[in-house]
Amino acid sequence: MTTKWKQSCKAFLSDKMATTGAIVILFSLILAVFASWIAPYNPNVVAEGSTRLMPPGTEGHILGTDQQGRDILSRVIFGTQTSLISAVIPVIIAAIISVVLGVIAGYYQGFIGNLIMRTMDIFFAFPAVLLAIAIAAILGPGLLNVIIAMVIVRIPYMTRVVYTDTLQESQKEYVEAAKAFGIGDIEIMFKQILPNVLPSLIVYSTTLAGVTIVTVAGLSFIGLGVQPPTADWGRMASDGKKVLMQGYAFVTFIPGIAILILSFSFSMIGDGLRNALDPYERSKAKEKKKISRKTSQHIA
Amino acid sequence: MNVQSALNTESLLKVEGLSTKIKTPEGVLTVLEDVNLTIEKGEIMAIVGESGSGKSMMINSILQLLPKTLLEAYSGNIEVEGENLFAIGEKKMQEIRGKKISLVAQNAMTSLDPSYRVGKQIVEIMLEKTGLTKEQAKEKALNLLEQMGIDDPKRIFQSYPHQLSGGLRQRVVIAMSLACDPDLIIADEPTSALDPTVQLQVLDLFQTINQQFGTAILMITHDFGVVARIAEKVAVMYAGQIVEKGETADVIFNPTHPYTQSLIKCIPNLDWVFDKGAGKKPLWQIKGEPPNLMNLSQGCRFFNRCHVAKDICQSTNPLLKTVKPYRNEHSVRCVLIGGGNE
Amino acid sequence: MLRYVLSRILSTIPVLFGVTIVVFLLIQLIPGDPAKSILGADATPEAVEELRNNMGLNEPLIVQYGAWLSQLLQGDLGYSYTLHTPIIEELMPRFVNSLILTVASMLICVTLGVILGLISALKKGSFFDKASMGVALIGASMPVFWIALMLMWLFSIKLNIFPVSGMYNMRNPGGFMDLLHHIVLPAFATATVSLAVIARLTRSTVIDILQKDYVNYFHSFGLSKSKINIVHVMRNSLPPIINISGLQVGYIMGGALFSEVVFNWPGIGQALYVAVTSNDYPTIQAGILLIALTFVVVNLVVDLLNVWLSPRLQDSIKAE
Repeated sequence: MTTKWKQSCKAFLSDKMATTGAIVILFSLILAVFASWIAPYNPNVVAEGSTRLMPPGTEGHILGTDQQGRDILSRVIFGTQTSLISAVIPVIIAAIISVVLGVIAGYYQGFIGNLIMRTMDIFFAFPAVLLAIAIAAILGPGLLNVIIAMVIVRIPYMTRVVYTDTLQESQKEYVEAAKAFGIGDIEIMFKQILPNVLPSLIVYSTTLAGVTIVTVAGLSFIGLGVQPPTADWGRMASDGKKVLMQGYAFVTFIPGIAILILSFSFSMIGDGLRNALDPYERSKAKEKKKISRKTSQHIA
Repeated sequence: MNVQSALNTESLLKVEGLSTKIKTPEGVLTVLEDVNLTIEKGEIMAIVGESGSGKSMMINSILQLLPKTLLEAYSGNIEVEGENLFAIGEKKMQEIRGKKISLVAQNAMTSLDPSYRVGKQIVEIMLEKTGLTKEQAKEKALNLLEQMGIDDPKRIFQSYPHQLSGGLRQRVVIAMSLACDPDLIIADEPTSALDPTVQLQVLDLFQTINQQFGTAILMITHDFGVVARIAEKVAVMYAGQIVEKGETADVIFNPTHPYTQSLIKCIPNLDWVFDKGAGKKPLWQIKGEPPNLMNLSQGCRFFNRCHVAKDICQSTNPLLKTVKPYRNEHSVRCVLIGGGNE
Repeated sequence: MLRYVLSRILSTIPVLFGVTIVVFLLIQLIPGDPAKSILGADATPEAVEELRNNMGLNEPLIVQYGAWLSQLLQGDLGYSYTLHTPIIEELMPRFVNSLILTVASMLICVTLGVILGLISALKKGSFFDKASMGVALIGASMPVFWIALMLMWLFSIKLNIFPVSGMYNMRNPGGFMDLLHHIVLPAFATATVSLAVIARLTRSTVIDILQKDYVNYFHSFGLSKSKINIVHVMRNSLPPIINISGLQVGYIMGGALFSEVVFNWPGIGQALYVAVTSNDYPTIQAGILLIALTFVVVNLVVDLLNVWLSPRLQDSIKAE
């Protein structure tokens, strides 16, 4: 078991993109936690001596100032907080709920399984972003409501992943054996099956966290989520639209890049984890090995 | 001195001193070395060897199907009716593929496109490679299917690959290989994926084709039973080299190379099953693994696994030598045989 | 086959039913009393009670749902809180406009995505492959609203090639070419993410198919490479590509909302945005419902298309 973990760690670390992604996330976590110390200015107040729309590169304001004259760098640093919270927390909550639903549905199948999965099917009929917008809009603005909306929207996808894996695992010998030994259903489900289902859920959750950053940014772009003057990347982009029309693109451009970097990092970690946790994918990931496999095909 | 008669004396396929090198991430690999063989018109020849011995590389070399990304270099000659394949260029090569030499794929299950009816796939080849019209092609395909011993060619023509049994699919693939009346078909382990009873039927089919159409057949196999049943000549390959070559009867009844001897000893017979007495010997096995072509040491490639190996085998590279020069050629790559080294 | 099509169509009914339940329940999430919020904070309790009775809010939930559903089946989506007009009249023309944008975006992402993915697969390892797949990798992580704003800045404001907003020229609306001129930017903005996804999937699918035995086998007959690529490789890559494209319709419909907001495209997304900012709950409800219903139909079509394209699937259906 430990060697397996070691191997996975090694495989992950040998993936440059994934490691870079992990470093970026770690770095943004530090930014978020220590924002008040790191940020050069108060993000919500116009600093003394600043004027509005100072271009990036201006002394004292590396990323410039926004339409009100607030320091963009400071706002980007503080924006890391809401972005990380709204990406990670809903995914974790949704993952926990999905594990319960998915494992139960996959293990029992039959009526319970059908009931759970058919209910999930209904949610697949809604484009995720729109359902999230509708829920968040009806619940009213605020970070908490966005998190609730994202949890609801993510559950069907994650449940489906857990469900298909559990279904496969349930048919394996070790489950039959456990049943024959008279081990209880709950123990089989959550002590025997769950550990085998978890890796793919972790991979999927990481990728989803990246997607969620973009979705949440979209929600705050249309005015849901954190309310002003709290710094938030989606809202920064949206507020920048007016001055964008006058030609000042950087006010919108910079928070967008921040969203892109964070989201991209999560999806790179997701890819890296997938390769690291799956021995087959691991060998496939290495182009080198791929070629030699092709070669052996030709020889054989 | 007339050209026509000169052409007629040419062998159908003549491989001379062929070596094939491919690129791998670990470096250049010589997968075929100094291969010589000749197939005359209407002949059935077999190539025998374990997987990895270079049998498939042989097909890819003859049909020039190795992708550029993989191929390092060829050396030697491959001639089809006197034309050197390395000199004629890709356009002419395309003419030879399918029309002069065609392939019967190893695995009929995966070698037919699952999205099209099998008849359409045969017709597709005819339409592109021959001047037939659609109707003519369809009629010819139906005829071919019938000649393959298929009872209901119309139904099979309209079927998708997944709807057919393994034996039927193999017959379809054989029909496909005959679509453009080739002079030579190379059959790559055509029976290894089939049930034993079907195997025999398919082998008989090859013999029928050979007799009816006069098509030469190069049969790639690992099974001496297949060789004994249909081939007139056989070449045994080991680690990219031909180690023994000759008339089938000569090679089977008088195997000379230790590897060939071992291969033939490996065939279980019923005596072994029923002889329950004390004299029961374990089945013959060839110990060890084929050598890694990446780091070959000097000497015979079979040295490590050979049951008669001597010191000289480790130091001398054996050459293919004729052991039976009269009437039918029979040659062997072994320093211990033929006395040439004494 | 016809039986399968019918049964597949019938099988969407429970989903459609479920969709209406979810949409109905959405409105129950509104914090507080809707009657109070309509009448305002200083309404008398009697007035609120009367409105509650009129709105049917005192009935059991199931009765309320039944009433709502029967209205729905008659094409009545309720009244907008803000516009005080029947929602259906407001949304239907917008629905058509959104459909135009969605179709245009789908055309862009499917054609360009497949072309990019195909070339990358055929020229695997080349500079083109590496460059386009690198861009696709990043493109899949970009927020639609940001792409829209950046496209607008570059092509409308800096280069002045395409209009900043709207669907037709305000002063001089002129037919199809005018529409085309206005749709380019919103359609591309909506399509980018899906384009990246489709390109990556196409590439991996085609690479996979290129290694199939049957492709090599057809090569051994000396058939022309381009013909094999079209007839066999593309044909067999089609099902997964269609599948992912079908899934992308959902992303496109979601992403269209942002393009519509940025470019003032008079579609459902923009109406939803206005409804969200003005707490017009019935309009939010109706908009979501319309989009979900469309998505269910699209999924149905994609499923049937896949069966039609796969002889093997057809046989397994017949066997059932």
